Amino acid sequence: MRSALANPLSYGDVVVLPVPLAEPVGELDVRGLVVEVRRSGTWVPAVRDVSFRVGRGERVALIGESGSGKSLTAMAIARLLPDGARIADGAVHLDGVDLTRADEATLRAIRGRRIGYIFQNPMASMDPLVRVGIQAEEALLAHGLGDATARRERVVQLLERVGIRDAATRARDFPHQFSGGMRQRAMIAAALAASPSLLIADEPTTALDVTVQARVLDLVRELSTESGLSVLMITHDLAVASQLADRLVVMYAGRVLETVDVKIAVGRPHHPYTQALLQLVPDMRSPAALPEPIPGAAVPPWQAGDGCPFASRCRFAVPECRETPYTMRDVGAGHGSACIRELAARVPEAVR
Amino acid sequence: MSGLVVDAVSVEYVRRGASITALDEVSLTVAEGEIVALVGESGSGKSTLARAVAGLVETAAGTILFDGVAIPTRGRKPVAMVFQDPLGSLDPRLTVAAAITEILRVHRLRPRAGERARTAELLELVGLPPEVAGVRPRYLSGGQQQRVAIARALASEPRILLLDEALSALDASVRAQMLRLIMELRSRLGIGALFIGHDLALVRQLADRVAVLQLGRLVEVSSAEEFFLSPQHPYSRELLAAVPVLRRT
Ligand SMILES: Nc1ncnc2c1ncn2[C@@H]1O[C@H](COP(=O)(O)OP(=O)(O)O)[C@@H](O)[C@H]1O
Ligand SMILES: Nc1ncnc2c1ncn2[C@@H]1O[C@H](COP(=O)(O)OP(=O)(O)O)[C@@H](O)[C@H]1O
Ligand code: SF4
Ligand SMILES: [Mg+2]
Ligand SMILES: [Mg+2]
Repeated sequence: MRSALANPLSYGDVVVLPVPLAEPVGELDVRGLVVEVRRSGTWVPAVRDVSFRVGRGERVALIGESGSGKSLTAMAIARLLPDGARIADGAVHLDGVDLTRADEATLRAIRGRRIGYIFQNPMASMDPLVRVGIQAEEALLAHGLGDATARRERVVQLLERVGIRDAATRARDFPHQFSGGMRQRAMIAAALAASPSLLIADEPTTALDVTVQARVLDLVRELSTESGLSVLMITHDLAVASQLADRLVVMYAGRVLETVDVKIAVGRPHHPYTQALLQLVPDMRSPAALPEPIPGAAVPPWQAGDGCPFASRCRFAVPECRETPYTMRDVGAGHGSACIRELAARVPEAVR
Repeated sequence: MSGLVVDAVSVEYVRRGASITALDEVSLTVAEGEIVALVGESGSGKSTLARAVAGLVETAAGTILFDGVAIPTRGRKPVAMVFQDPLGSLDPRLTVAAAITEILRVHRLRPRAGERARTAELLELVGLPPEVAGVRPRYLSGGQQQRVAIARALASEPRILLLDEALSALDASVRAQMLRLIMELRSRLGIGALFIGHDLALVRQLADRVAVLQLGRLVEVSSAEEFFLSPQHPYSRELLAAVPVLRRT
């Protein structure tokens, strides 16, 4: 295998383009991010004071129930928020540049090239009138990478890597000729085409068959180990996160509740919400123990108050939990938690 | 034989003038109260089988019987389908109660005076609070919408539910709730299910038997225990090897 760090455009056995990355560091630092959304005419916070880092070549999973603010956080980082959502506060540094203050030209230079982005709903982000292969080449073209032959070759190879059979022919298909899972894979190839230093992937494998999912996870893991690709992956599935990530950022009601090494998260998480997520993972060895649902429903961020947002569903809750203002504190080396209680038994016996 | 019996069913689609075989002599049974999972990669024919059972696609060969009788193509059926996208099968203008009442009326299942009570009963059955009756589905969470879709399916009093990726778009927390709901419906109503899904961890929790489709053919039908502990077909082994499991090291 070639040294990918020497030439970051060589992704494993994928074709090398003649243009190297400028500064392929891919270090992301999110500080105090606040995203507001418009609801019946007023702006309300949906992402509240979110801070975390993704180091070079690190793989971080943003995990939490649906509605917890994961997608908004990811879109805010890449400045891809839709209408009706805005960054209200905070900073997002990518290799030292604050993206929240960057102008359109800087953002254009960064998107597709330094940041590869896979949307939660890839169908909506494809152009029905443009051939799949051409769409996957878009970032290469936009950033003037490679000639037509090199671009096509690279895209075909990436399509093959994500398991599209007969990729050279299928690249000429239009999106409607692809199944949902194939379109999702085409978008993954498109996001990786220009060898970004940071990949942001919003639930990239949920619609995929298990065999294809395993393949995509392998590819991302390999690119990150070999080429130093940094990854921010969003998922609600702790099993998928444990396969891919080094570290977890656990979100609930727009807040970060725990940032933790993945091995600690699956063994001895600090926050009761992380424990609850752990208990949702079905046991493949036996059908005897059904996964334990989290009681009640997720609280919308703008209704969660200033205390612990999880208090209404937490079995360890005491009055102080609601009264103490939210804050993250260190509970170990590189381990942060927003739970204020010192709980003797952090991991209930039910957790396998 | 009682329950659902699919016997040597083939389905062909015509695409660009050419005919493709989506199902090739598939035989499968689902007894009342039994949950059979149908797995296989996309395009293997899972939805086609469910739709054939529901009478939504024509079969080219074979028979589909419930309690020894052909399933009618129109009118009330002993099977009911639930899809991945609940909003796709719900009229956006109708409230939850109206969507359920519609089914009761079409099949003349209750006198007008009994509609309200039956609707309330169905909502309770799927674990929805009575308040949602007057709400339009788009204002509900994804999990609640899917409960409405299930309540609507149950309104026609089917004996077998055809769950086509019904849990696939839900997050892990809502899936765990729905898993319990399906188990509960089975024990309360004695209802059976053909469960289609790509989450094999969920199949492990839910299914009595597992049927594996590959390119329109059944390559394995085993008890869940057998399938997960000693899968027979290489394709089954491939599927199982790819399941993401919680990695502790
Ligand atoms: N454009 C928007 N306008 C109004 N509300 C929104 C918008 N986008 C997201 N929201 C709301 O913000 C919350 C967080 O959404 P999201 O980031 O998509 O959560 P997740 O990705 O964790 O499921 C949800 O309650 C969602 O309904
Ligand atoms: N309406 C249709 N017209 C033509 N081909 C179809 C149609 N529906 C499905 N197919 C084809 O039939 C095969 C089986 O599809 P399907 O039953 O949807 O599989 P699955 O649900 O396992 O993904 C696929 O090759 C698919 O492309
Ligand atoms: S702060 Fe209190 S309510 Fe919140 S997670 Fe900890 S124990 Fe539970
Ligand atoms: Mg999301
Ligand atoms: Mg299908």
